[in-house]
Amino acid sequence: MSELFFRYYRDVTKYNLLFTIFISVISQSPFAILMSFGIAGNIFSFFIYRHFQSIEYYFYLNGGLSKNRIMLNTFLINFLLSFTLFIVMWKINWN
Amino acid sequence: MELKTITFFYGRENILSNINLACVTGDIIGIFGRNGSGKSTLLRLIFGTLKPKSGQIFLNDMPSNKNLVLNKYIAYHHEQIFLPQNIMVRNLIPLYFPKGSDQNNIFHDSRISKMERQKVKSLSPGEQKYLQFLLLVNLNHHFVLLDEPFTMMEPLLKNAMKEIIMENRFRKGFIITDHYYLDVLEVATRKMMIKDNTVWPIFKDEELAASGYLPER
Repeated sequence: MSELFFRYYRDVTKYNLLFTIFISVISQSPFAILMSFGIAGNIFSFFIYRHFQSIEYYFYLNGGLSKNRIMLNTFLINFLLSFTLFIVMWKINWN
Repeated sequence: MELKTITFFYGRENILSNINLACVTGDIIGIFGRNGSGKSTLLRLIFGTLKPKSGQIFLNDMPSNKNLVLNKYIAYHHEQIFLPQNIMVRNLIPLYFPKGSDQNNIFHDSRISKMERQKVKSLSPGEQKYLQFLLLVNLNHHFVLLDEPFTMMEPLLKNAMKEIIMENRFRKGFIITDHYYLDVLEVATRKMMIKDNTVWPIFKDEELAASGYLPER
């Protein structure tokens, strides 16, 4: 994946991280934190980015990256990261 | 690039009807029209961010689709600034031009070299728009759609942009729309008017007044 994509990933994931920090403060459950980063925070971050920075999608379109593609890739990266961490935590607790 | 019988509606309102337009390398097509006539809509239809109700757009005789457009066929300069704001100019340029040799045209521009250590958000709107323009024109795309490129620009930057368009016309086709019509008239090799939902050729500049776009003298 290109540096151009990771610029978008960084910009959108900062909102996800803020959301996840908020969830971690109110819930303190590792499962809820991972669920937040992998699913709910992803959706929240797309919503916020669309609200405040939607014009920037034209920057990525001109660079050859469609909106759907960069959103899907971002979602998958964060979901797989959360899922992997969940498996690791589950294994540790199981043992 | 060829548009054949393009029709577009916003809801029930007919914006464009039966539009036929061709653009080839070397063309600089100036499109004029009153506010709300459908100029920006036409550019977005070509870029693929809007879909026509009917008709077809062809790129090199192939029906246009999102992949073709994204695969370096068409660049679109939105009327608003779309550059990421929280990034230094020197870090922004390699996002479009990963190879150092491709960055030369941008970094060697005297105006860009002065601002390369600044963040995009600290530049004036005119400087940001110039940077956006320069990035798009230097991409390897066959066609460049410029929506209001001259608006908000100081005369020196406007002149620089017009020179860059003229230099690049031998390897690209341009479609420009802007209410700074004198600047568009200066560079346009063909002129079109959108009126009554369709595109009309303009052969003499005086026709802009006759068609109701400019006040009669």
